[in-house]
Amino acid sequence: MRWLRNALRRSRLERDIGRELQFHLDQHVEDLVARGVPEAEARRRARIELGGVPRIREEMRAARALQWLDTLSRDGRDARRVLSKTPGFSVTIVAMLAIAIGVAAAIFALVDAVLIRPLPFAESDRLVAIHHDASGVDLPWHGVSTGTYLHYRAGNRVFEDLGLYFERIDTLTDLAEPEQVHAAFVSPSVFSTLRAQPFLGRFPTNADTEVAPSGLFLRAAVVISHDLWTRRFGGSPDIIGRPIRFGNVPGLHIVGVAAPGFHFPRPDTQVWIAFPPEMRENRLRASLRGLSNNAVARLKPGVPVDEARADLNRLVRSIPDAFPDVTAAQFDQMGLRADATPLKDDVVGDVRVPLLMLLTTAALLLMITWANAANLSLVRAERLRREVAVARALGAGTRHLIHRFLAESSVLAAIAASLASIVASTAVDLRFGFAPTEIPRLGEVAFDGRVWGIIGGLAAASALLLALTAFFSVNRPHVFVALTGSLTRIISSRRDRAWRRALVTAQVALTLPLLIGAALMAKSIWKLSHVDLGFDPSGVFTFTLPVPPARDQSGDFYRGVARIHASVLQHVRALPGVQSAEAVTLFPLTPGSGYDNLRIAPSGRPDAWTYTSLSYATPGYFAAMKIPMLRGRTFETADLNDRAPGVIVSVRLARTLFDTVDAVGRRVQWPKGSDLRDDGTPFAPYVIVGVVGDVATDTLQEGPTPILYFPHVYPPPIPAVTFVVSNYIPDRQVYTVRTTLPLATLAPAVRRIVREVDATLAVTRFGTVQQRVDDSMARTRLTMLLLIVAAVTALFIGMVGVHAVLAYTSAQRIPEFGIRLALGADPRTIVSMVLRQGLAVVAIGIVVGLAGASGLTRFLRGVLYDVAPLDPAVFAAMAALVAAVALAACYVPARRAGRVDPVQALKAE
Amino acid sequence: MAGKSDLLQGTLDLLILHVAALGPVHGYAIAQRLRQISKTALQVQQGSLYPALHRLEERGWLRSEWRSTDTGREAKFYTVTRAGRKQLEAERLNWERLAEAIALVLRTAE
Repeated sequence: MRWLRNALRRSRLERDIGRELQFHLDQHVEDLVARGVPEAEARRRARIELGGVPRIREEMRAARALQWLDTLSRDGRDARRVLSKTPGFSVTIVAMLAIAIGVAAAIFALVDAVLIRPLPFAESDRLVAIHHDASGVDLPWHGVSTGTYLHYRAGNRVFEDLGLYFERIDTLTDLAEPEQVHAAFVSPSVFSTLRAQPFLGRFPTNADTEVAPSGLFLRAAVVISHDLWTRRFGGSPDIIGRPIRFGNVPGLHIVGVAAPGFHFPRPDTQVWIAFPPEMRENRLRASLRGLSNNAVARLKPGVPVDEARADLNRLVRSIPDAFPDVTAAQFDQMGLRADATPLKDDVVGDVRVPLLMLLTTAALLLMITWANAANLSLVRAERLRREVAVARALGAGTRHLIHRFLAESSVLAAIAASLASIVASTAVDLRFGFAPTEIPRLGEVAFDGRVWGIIGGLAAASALLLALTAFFSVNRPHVFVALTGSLTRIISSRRDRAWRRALVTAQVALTLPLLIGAALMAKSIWKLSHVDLGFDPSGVFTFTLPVPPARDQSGDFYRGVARIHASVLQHVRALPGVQSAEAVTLFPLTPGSGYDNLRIAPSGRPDAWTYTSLSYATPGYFAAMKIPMLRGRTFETADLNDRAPGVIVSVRLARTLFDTVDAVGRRVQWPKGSDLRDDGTPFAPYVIVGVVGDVATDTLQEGPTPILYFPHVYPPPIPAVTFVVSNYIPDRQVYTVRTTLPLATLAPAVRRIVREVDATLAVTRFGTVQQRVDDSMARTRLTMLLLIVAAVTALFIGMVGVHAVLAYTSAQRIPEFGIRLALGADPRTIVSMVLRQGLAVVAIGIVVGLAGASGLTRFLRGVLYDVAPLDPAVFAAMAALVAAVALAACYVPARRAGRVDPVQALKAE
Repeated sequence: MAGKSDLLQGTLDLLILHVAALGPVHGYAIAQRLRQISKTALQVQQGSLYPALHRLEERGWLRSEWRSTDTGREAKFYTVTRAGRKQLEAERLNWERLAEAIALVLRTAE
């Protein structure tokens, strides 16, 4: 193809020259004829005067040796001209650069918004989160308690303001469609600490809350998010003062709407309920085993975090004196320490690793693309070497040359940049397919000036790279070789070949870590998906039915809830096609359900308590979900006794409490401090009637937690341990339905049943259990997919590079092969020679790549599940894959080398 | 082609630029004009004219365009670019300085 294009170009030039000289002659002849010279004579004279046309043509041609460079500038850098000259090269380069730059820019936008930019609060670098740590005991929580919070608030010297909060997920009822939302119970000082401004209305103050002596809310102020306000309340201004129902909390009314960008503590927190910590009854207790709230504080100007830490620990030391429930001995044994960490670390904490991984992936992809582009540029520039040599002999300056190369590569880079911006902006618009719950601060990702800067910078760097590689390839003292003309082929210098080999090695070395990372993630996913869930998700539908509380908290409410659920259960069971229907309050794999923890102790040893999750289950629940009953039996009618219900424990709880699975018949009780009912009578210990297998409560990765199962008895035999009337009332239940009916039939039927039982109720979250399992793996899966895409792209690009280089160099050696074959060499030795050359380069690349990968994969430790970062099987498999693909890439050029016809090869000289 | 025509090459460039600066003109017309202006004292080798024109275009001092003459034929017309005008000025200054210097030398040598 190349010769065709050159031929066309030359013929055009020739025609041009010919026409111009012809015109000159004709014009001269005309003039002479006009002066009376006869035509034939005129022609003769004109020709003589002009001189030897061939020589003139040659001189004009020489002056035009730089034509290829000139076409560019003369046509005003018309992009189409550049591309049409060598379309294969141009399109490949543009496509590769567009993808690599686009991906890099998009990931930069994400990392910038989440990790680099400061939090969207005023002077957010002064905001810290307060934690605790205890070397002497294993703390289940690392936050603060109300007592310690108030202690620090009163005694500190370093903070301007502090706030206390904890989070809940529950349902907003009394909307047209109930909605499950993330909420935060906050002290009013949280808003002042963050220096937030309300969008509408105001933020709550201490005066807005009324709490009964028992700790129940009577009245409390609520702020809702801007998103919730526009979405569910139509953005209407008379939202202020409107009552609202969140779960069981009564007496809530809205006093303000937050500003649109206000996200605290999570991106999807929709409701903030104000409570004054001073009113909580346990302000007098340090509750060092219950440090389950969060605290945010604003440092005074100029105070470094270390000083805050020191000040907090000073206050920690005075805790035994300040609180009656902590003895000096206990305290010393605990080794309690306080810590203050920048708030941003808290917010972004666990996505840091995956995001940095993505960034590394993008960087690797970019480098591989650049290596390949440089290679292609080198190869292409070689073809122009002869013309450039001629041009230089005639005096074309170095600057001139670089200028032309740069112009060409700039056009390509500019096109690639505009395509890249499309790629990047699409990715940003789709929020990369993440949900806000998976990536904090996702809403802040924007395609802004910095991203444009990255695209521009990368494009400029690419243009420079292409131009310089072309120039250095061409800028060689081979002029004498080129101009003698007897060698129609320019033999690459050894340095060129070395450069090209180095580039291919680099590509392979960069591709391998990507592949290995992707493979490790894939193995993780595979392991996760084969984890023993502890139950059987197939064929089971679930839906959630929340029952909002009546205004008064008398025992009738509890009975009402029980009646509703019993009625719904009965009707659903009666549906034709339904094999079983059961209900439970703590459903496996529900993110955020690890929030509620109770303390339970073996009977007779109230100090040996442990934390446990709580669940109410219908007797048939375990069988329906195929959770194995390892010992004992499920609930029976005798156990449904509100004074002394039988309980079932999970294996983990049994082992923690009693050190054995055989816990049937043993008893458990509430620990001291929470073993009295409202009327002052003590709770009797509960008998364990069965031990069931573990299930994962929160996420698959975290695994199972201990669970204590109660049967549905009313009133619930749980002490009012929190001031919020119990999250331990079985009002919101998750139903599991085993049926052959399709969802489309089941759902409307269930909805109808619920409506008939109570028209104000609504069903939420209808779906299959399998969906919940899949959601659990969603984020890991997404990261893995991204890695795989990048790795496969890199592999493909890399192998194209290997193939191209090998094809080109072996094509150059055809005369050499021809000679060898003519002298009697076996074609197979030629083939093996070419193969060896290619594979040697790849082998070095593999070795370097493996070394690099073993250094990099340790950063994946946080995301891998049950897979070692240096898994030898994965490393070996990926190295073998690269070797195999390389072999395939080398195969064609090698075979072609072996098929060379010696006669033809020598003739081409 | 080096030594002998170095000086000549430079001067030829200067002359071509000068003529072309007056307006778009084709090669034949330049040759005519040069003969005219210098009252036939300058017989420009027509054979050197065209390579010179192409070289000047390469350097970016001339711009060319295929147009039809008033007689209907297609000819390549050259115009001076802005860079060409600058070059023309520079060359003119050089030439004048050179002419002065030579005149000085000749005068004092007496």
